[in-house]
Amino acid sequence: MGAAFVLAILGCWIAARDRSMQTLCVGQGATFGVLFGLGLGPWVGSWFGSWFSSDILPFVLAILAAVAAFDISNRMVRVRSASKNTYFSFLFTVLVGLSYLVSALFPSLETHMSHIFFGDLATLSNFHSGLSLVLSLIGFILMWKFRFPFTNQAFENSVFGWNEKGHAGRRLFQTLSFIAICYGVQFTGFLFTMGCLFIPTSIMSYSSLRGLDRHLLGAALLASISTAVGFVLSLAFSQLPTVPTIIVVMVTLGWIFDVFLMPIRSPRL
Amino acid sequence: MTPSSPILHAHSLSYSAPGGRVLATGLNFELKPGQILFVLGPNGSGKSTLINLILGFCKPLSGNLAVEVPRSRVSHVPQLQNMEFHIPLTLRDVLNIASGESPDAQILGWGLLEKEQLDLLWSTASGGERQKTLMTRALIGEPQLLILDEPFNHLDEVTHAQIFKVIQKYIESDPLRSIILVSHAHLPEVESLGIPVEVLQLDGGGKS
Repeated sequence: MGAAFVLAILGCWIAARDRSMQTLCVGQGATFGVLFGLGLGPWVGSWFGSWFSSDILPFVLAILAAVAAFDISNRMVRVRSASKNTYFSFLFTVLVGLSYLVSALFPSLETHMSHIFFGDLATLSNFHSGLSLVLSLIGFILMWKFRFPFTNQAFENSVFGWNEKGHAGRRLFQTLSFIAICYGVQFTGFLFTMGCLFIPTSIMSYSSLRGLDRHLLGAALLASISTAVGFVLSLAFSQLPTVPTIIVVMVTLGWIFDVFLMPIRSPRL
Repeated sequence: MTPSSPILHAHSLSYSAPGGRVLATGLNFELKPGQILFVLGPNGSGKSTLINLILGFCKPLSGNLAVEVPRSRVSHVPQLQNMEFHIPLTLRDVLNIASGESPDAQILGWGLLEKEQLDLLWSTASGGERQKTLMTRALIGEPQLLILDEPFNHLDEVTHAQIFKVIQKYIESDPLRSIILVSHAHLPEVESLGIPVEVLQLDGGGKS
């Protein structure tokens, strides 16, 4: 729930920067890195221990691959003749192919492949659940403290076309984003991470809730409540997979909220 | 900084557009506190590129351009590239995200926005309301140098008059303040404000 809360807030700013498609590439890069790290695990584990090979190495490689995907995608769109999203789609497709190739090269990854793509919150260990909660709390405190500068960067980027490279606030936002996305992909899966990033903010943008704080908190609450409800449902009905159920609950709750609870709209206001 | 020393001066300044086309060569100008530098020229003559140079977003081909004001004391109201924004910000949010939460008196004191307008959504506000919000946003920071890039575009006469009034109030309330005003028109109205105006005419052909 904590991870969902933080990812949903992060997703508001990524969407406001119009970087959703690029973030899918970054997430897919992280997926490739995690799989590659897990594939190397059996060799590396004998030297550095199982915790390093199962947690640290995949996370480090996820960060490296995500940063590489971000950098490559930026270079691809710097001088371009087609739309940005065309190049991002091209890179995303290549990364999906590479991820599958890695899983084929390391036969032990077959089960991991499905786990990293679709996630399974029910099998998260107590240690990882606790770590997620602590990291989510730290992430939330940082994001709430810096919500004005993060929103301002997104606003100036979108409305004025400004993109001040090297700005300290921009570096902080990128660092938080890489850590959240890579951690999310490694421990909760690609689908859960991307779902929490983009579904709540998209639904909230249709609602008549106005103002920055309401949008951020609305998206975060929708993501975390949906995660709790979806998780309980998947425990109650064993045939329901956890993450897809959470995604369906998120869309359904968002639709109920949007249609039935916030019916008063005004085009002017 | 004394009222007589320039806050901005250019010597033999030459610069080009991002694609490499030379826009100006050998430009010489300066801006002193209490003055308005009125940058005039047709579309594509390099007015906005000059602003980017002043803000340090790009570098000149040759010559010197010195800005004697810290970047934190410079406010810029650029032209809008895109009207839409994904997060449904109110006009008050647009002000808050730039400079923290400001008291209403400080926001309304410039006379550009009414209190009830602060709760309007940015995405559905009129062009005039957006422009006045961006002006107020720039002024709340109490800048020493205010840069306005085509602030009169697509606005009615009433809003023009409000902006002229704010320009006058801004300069007259502190002798160390200056404005760079980029516009392709409205020079006579600005000259009639009674503030010293330096005119920089750009033609985009490499000469000025």
